[in-house]
Amino acid sequence: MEKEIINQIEIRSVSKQFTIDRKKVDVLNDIDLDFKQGEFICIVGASGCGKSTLLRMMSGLEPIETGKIIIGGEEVTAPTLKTGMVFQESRLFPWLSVEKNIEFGITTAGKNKKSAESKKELVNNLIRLVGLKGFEKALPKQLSGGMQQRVSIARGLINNPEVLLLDEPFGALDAITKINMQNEILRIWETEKKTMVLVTHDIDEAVYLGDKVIVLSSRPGSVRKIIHVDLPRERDRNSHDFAAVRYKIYKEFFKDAKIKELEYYI
Amino acid sequence: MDRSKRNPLDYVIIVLSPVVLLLLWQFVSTNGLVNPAFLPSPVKVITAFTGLLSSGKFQEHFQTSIVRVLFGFSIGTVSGILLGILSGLFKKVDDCLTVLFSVLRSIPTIGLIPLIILWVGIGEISKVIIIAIGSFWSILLNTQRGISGTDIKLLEVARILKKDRLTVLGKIILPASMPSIITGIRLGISGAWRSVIAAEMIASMRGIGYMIQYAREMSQPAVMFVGLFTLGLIGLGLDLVVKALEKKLIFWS
Repeated sequence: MEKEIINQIEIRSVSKQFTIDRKKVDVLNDIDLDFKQGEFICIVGASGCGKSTLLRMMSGLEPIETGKIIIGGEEVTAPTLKTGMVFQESRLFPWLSVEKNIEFGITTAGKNKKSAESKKELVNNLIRLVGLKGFEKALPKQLSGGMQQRVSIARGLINNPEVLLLDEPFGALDAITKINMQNEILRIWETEKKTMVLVTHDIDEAVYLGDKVIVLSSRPGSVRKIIHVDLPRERDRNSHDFAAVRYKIYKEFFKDAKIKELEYYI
Repeated sequence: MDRSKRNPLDYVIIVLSPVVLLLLWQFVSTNGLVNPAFLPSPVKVITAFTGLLSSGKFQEHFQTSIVRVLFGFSIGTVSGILLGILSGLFKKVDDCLTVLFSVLRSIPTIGLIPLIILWVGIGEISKVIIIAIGSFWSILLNTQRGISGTDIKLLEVARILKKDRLTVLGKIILPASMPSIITGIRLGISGAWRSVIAAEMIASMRGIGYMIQYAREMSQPAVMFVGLFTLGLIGLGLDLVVKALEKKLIFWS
């Protein structure tokens, strides 16, 4: 029997305007997207194209006025525990240790409170998953940027969400840490089998991680192209196929810019 | 150059320089270079101090001032923090209070002393109220600033995690405001200390402030110096206590 393919996330005719200085600015224009359960989605776009806004709308942080977003069969109107989120800055609480920061993430709906032991076990499992064994008692300031982001990922996963949203999670990391963290997030994705949506301006990162790469146009952001990356993992960044996909995205990226000029820079 | 690292010689200089200054002071006093009615010698000051100690007067004044400060400061701190939290959390409360408070806090505390005495009399309560006011404003303002300035990014984390308001207040807003609140407390305690002396100089029969004022009337400059040094040392001591508290409470910075 063929397994039913479920749409985990449905984005239907979503547009967004911001009012800046009393002027309406179009940020997103008529976005329609479907993401399947367990997919790794990367959304790329130039800065200011509204990709982070789109992610924040999926998370429920940003109100959706035009169109709708459905996650796991329910329309998004506010944050839900079905989605976890990791931000570019780790956003850890500086006064809490690694384990307390992760434990803070635990929110139980209704009356089924978790016992201290089950909480502890949950936290320990996640600490192991993100590779921070031995750093349980450390304060965020004692951790490197990459390690802080590991904590943030653990916190994002603690309520066992169906979807993990990642808003440029490795954007502030140095090149080597970034590559390590990309491998880490792939490993976590493969063990946890979550739907992951990662926003990035790094085309390489998108091709390395994504099952699908959504290329957004510059503001107002609209879906320029959906590129399926059919390369087997672990992907070789230096392979010909990888370069071919990357080139395809570059082309999309600079379609409306003067591509002739830009070719000199690529 | 790293100024935070000091070698033993630096400590010698730090300790020795006030000693040299004292010796110089003693020298000009004993050689009649200054009028002892204006500047008594350090030895005279120490003698006055031991005299006050053995008669128990110093302890009495000292205790009186400290107890007043503790009461007034506690009231000022608790009310400042509570109101600061309320006006930091709720814009409506802030809007209600902003004009009134802007005017009131511009009144130097000393200016309020006659009115407070008129209202509650010359007893202990008036001093406690004055000290409370003297510490209240800086604690209120800094608490409010800390609360309303809580990093919105951390609050978003709480929204994503569906945390209730009480958790957000206790686990995020209050710890995030702690550095600001401590700053308020530090300013508040020096405000309290200034106010108690002012109140005691104007209307009191006890306390360090009274002791200094009375010594002027009695032409006892050495006692005045005892009082002034006491003020300086206690002020320093309070500051050190708050600094230690700061280090303990804001361990993460």
